[in-house]
Amino acid sequence: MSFFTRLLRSPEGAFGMIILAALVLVALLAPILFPGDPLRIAGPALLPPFSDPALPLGTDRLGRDVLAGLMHGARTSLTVGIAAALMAIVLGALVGTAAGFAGGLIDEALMRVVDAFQIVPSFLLALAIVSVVGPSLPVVIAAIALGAWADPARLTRAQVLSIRERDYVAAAEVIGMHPLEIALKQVLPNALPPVLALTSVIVAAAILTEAALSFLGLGDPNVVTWGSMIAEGRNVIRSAAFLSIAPGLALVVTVIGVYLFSEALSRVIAGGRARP
Amino acid sequence: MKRAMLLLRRRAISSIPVLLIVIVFTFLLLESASGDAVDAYLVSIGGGDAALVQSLRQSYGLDQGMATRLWLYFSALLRFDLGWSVAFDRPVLGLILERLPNTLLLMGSATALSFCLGSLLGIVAGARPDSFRDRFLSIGSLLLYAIPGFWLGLVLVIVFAVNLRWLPTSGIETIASGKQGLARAMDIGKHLILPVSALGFIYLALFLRVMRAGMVETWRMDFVLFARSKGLSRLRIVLRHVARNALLPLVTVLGLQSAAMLGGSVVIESVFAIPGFGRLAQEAVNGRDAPLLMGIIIVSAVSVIFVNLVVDIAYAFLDPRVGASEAGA
Repeated sequence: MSFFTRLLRSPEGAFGMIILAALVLVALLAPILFPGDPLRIAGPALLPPFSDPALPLGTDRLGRDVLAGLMHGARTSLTVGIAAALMAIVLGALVGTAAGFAGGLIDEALMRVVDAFQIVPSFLLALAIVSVVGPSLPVVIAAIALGAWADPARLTRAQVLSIRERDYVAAAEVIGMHPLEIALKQVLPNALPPVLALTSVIVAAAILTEAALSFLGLGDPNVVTWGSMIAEGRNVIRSAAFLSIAPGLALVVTVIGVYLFSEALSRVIAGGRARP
Repeated sequence: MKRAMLLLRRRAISSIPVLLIVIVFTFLLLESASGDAVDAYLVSIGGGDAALVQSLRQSYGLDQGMATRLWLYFSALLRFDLGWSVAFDRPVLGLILERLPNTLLLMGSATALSFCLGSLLGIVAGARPDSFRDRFLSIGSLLLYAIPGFWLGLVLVIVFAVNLRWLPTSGIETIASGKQGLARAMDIGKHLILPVSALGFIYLALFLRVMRAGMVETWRMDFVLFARSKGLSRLRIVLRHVARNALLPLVTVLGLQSAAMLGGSVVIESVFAIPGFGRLAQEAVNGRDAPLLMGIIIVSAVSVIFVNLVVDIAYAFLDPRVGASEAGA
C-alpha cells in the first residue's frame, strides 16, 4: 500500500488532507479571484456580511473586503507556517547530526546552545527578533524558526546516537566506507523519519505564533494576515464582532487540519501499528 | 533528601553555561538593532543637539566598544543590576519585579486550572481507551489545542463581557475603587476569570492528551493485568493503579510548558490589559527599550530554569529511581 493511501485510510488523515487541500486551493486562487491589493479600500466601511453580493463577507473599519483578506491571509499563514517549519527542521537536523557525530566537547557546546533556545520562551524570542530587525515576512519566518529548531535538534541527536551503534554501521566501517559517507548515506536517512514527523506540529505552532505576532502589530505591515485582521476587528468588537471572529475561525480550522494530518502521519510513520 | 540535593546541585551547575549563552545571544541581538536607546529617547523628546547626544551616549556607556559593553553588562548582572529602562526612566529590575506578581498570579491560576481539569478529563478519557467518551474528549482537546489563546480571549470578552455583561472586559482590578482586603481580592478574582480561562483552556488540552496517552500505556502493563485478575473493581484499578502511574509524565510537561505559558501570557495580557510581565515586554518593544527587553528575556530564562529545577526535585521525590545513580556515586 502506498504512503498516501495509508494516510487517507484513517478518518483523521482523510479529514486533515481535505482541509489542507482546500486551504492550499484557497491560497492559490486568492490572487486570481481577488486580484490587486487586498488592503485597498473596496467599498463603504463596516458593511455587514451577506448584504452585498459583490462583497459577500462585508468590509472592515476601513472599507476593505473581508473575504479577500481571509483568502489572501491563508497565503500568508501557510507560507509562514511551512517556511518556518522547514527552516527549523533543516537547522535542527544539521545541528543534531553534527552534535551526535562529533561527540565530546562539540556535542556538549552545541547542546548547551540548544538548551538556551529551549529555555527562552519562543514567543518572547520571536517578539525580540522582529522588533529589533524590523517586521517583514522573511524576518518573521526566521524569528519563528529560531524559536522552534531546538526540539528537532534534540531528537535528531538522540536518533543519530542510537543508530550509530547499530551493526550495519559497524559493518560499513569494516568495509572501509568513509565516515562522511556513513553519516550521510547510512545514518541520516534512518534518523530522519521521526524528526520529519515533527514538521506538522511545528507548522501548526508557527501559524499560531505568526498570528499572535501580527495581532500585536509585529507582522509585515504590507501583507494581510489573519492575526492583523483580528487586531483590526478588535477596535469595533462591540459593534462588529464578526470582524475579529471570522479570521480566528480560519486560524482554528487551519491548525486543526494540520494537527489531524500530523496525527495520521505519525501513525503511518510509526509503521502502521494498530491503534493502542 | 541527599539524592534530591545532589540532583539539584548538578542541574543548577549545568544551567549556568546555558544562561551565559542566553545573555550573550540577547546582547548580540540588540547590538544588531539599528538605532539605540538614545535615538529612541531623542524621538520621544522631539530631538536634541549633538552635544546632548554625546553626553547621553556617554552616560549609558553606549560610546564604548562591544566587548567592553558586554563585560560591563555581565559585571552589572552579577550585582543583580539589569540596567536602566529608557522608556520608563527607572531601573529595569524594579519594573520587572513590580509587574511579575500579576503574571505569576495569572500563570499560576491558569496552570492550576489546566493541570487539574486536564488530568481529570485525561483520566475520564483514558479509563476506557477508544470508548465514545475517549473519542469525544480527544477530538475536543484537539479543537482546544488549535485555538489561538488571544482569539479565545477575545471571544470570551465578546460573550461574557460585551453581550452578557457578567464580567469586566479588561484590567486586573477596578481602578480607584478604594476596595480593601477581601473585597479587593474578590474584585481581582473577577477580573482574572476570563484571562485565566483563555490561557488555561489551551494548555488543558496538552495535559489531557499526555494523561490519556500515559494511561493507554499503563493499561498494557503486567501489574494492571494482575490487579484485574485479583478481581479489583474497575474504578479502583483506574484510580489506584493506572492513573497514579500515568500522573508522573504530567509533572515533566508542567516544567516544559512553563516557557510556553510565559510566552503566551504576553498576548493574553495585551488582550486583557493586565499590567504584567508580558505586557511589559510589548511596551519595551514599542518604546525600543533595549535594556528592558534584554532584562525581560533574562528574567524569563531564569524563571524557566527555576521552574524546571523545582520540577526535577518534585520528580526525584515522586520517583525513587530518578537520581539514584548520583546519590550512589
